[in-house]
Amino acid sequence: MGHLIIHITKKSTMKIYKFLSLLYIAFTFFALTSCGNSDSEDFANETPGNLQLKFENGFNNLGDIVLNQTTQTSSQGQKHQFSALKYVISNISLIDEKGNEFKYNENNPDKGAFIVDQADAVAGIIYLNLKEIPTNNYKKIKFGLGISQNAYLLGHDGQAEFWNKAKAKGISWSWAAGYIFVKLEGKYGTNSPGTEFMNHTGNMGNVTANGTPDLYREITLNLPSTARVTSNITPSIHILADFNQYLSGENSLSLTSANDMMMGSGQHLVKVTDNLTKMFKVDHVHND
Amino acid sequence: MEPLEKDEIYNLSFPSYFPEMTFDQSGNPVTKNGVELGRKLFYEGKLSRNNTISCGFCHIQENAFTHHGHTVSHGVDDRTGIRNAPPIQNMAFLKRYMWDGVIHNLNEQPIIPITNEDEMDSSMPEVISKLNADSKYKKLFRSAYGDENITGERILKALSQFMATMISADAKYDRVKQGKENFTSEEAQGMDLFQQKCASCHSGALFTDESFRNTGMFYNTQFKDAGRYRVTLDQSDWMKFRVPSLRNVEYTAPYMHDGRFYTLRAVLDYYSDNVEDNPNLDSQLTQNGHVGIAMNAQEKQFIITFLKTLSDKNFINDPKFAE
Repeated sequence: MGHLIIHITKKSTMKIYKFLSLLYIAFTFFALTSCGNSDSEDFANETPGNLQLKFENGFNNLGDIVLNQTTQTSSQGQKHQFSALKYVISNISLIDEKGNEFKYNENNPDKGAFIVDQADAVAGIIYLNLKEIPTNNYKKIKFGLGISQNAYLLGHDGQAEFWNKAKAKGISWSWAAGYIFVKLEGKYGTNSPGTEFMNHTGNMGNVTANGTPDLYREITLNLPSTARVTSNITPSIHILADFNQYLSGENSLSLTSANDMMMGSGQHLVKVTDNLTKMFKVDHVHND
Repeated sequence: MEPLEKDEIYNLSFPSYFPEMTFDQSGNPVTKNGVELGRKLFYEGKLSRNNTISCGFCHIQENAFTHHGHTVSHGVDDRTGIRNAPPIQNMAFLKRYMWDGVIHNLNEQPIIPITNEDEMDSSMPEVISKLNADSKYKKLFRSAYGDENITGERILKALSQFMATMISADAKYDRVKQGKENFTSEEAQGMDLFQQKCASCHSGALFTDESFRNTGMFYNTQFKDAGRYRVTLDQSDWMKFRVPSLRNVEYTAPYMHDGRFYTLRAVLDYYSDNVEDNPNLDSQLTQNGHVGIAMNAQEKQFIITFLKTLSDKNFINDPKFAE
């Protein structure tokens, strides 16, 4: 289904805003009718709203992660703590009651990719604010962990803005390799966390051409209650990320001198990625 | 509830094994209409700058009047504070309030959240002028105080009258203590372990000795809160916090002054394995040359089973305290 996002800067006058809103409405209506999809017509002539995503990174049987402090013991008995914890979220989409999907700036990192960085946490929460979300009742959220090949292969010019953000946040390699998807750094050890580790997951450039694994993963989560986006209501979806999955997930992992300084998409990092794909859960939705 | 035509004294009843009441009833007699006014004020958004944040926003009855699921409390414009909202219960028996004990008199406590910019971000004059513009409050103040004069002192005293009535003394623990019920064998074993390992600080009928102690927790740079040190600026008070009551602890996750632990098990795991030695560490946590409290997994399970006997379902469901 076609969709159009109009980005409105703060400087826009109300007049322009109204005009663009009408244009948006007209286009949405056109898109819906032209697709022969009448399911969401009830909402087609309403002004769009906003949506907030809250990411809370923790250990589900311990507490929120505080960098350099919170120490967890893995299923293999290793104590570990993080000094850096960040990851890329992109290709967010919302699925309504009838299964229709609204894709938020799909494969457009400049507008649709975000960096969740634990160093930015406010009282343990990292906030992502999404704008111009069609009024609707949403039941599911889908998002990508990392940057899809389709987006990466648009090339550097197609995403200079997000690439520069990623560089500033230290969540990129050079362009030929691309983005770091998940950056985990800290210390680990048997009795106390004393040995440094760095695990940076991400694709190595064009994975088909290079014959390397594709670590981009899409995750779909049910919302425990409906997120009702309107021009007045900005729902917030509170997502918990359980970092027990890192070492104690479906692949039970130990950090060793062979894997504690790994970057890219080697076998250990494929397992880390598979584990982390299962870490997300929607805890609750607020509609206010 | 409509205020009574003629106000009456509100009888506060509590078990004989509770500590002496610290609440000054001669200076602030607790009356039915005073309590009703206090309840209305407790749930009144006008106490905040933008009329949205009442006391009850962060002190939710179902969670023994804590802010369930939030590490630290949230206020106006979704600003975040620096501390986990403590339960409101048995306030009439405490000598000190807040995690750092800065308040000694319950009548003065609400000034802090009302004026704190991350919580309600208002002021007493602003609150008084908003309440004055509301005819409902003229009536409520008249019924409680005899005339319609709304003052800061009257607002605070009505709030503390309401809080004084919030007595939680009907947990299984209490019914056992009163000979009405018996502990299961796991609960009894848990109580024995609790007496050995926890009760030197969590003592008495309220399960706190109201002292300030450093329990080896890391200084959380997100909130920059060094506890009692904020009050005294004395280095020996660095990272000392008031020992909290454990009544209704089952309902009040997350735990500690900054809500760093999601579960009771995580708290006990901390005390057994992760207490960090430091010059201020409480001597109770360095017994027998061991840092922390020695507990195995089964002992922790028994202690948690015992702690759940401190849960007072009637308190968290009592319509007298509801919005």
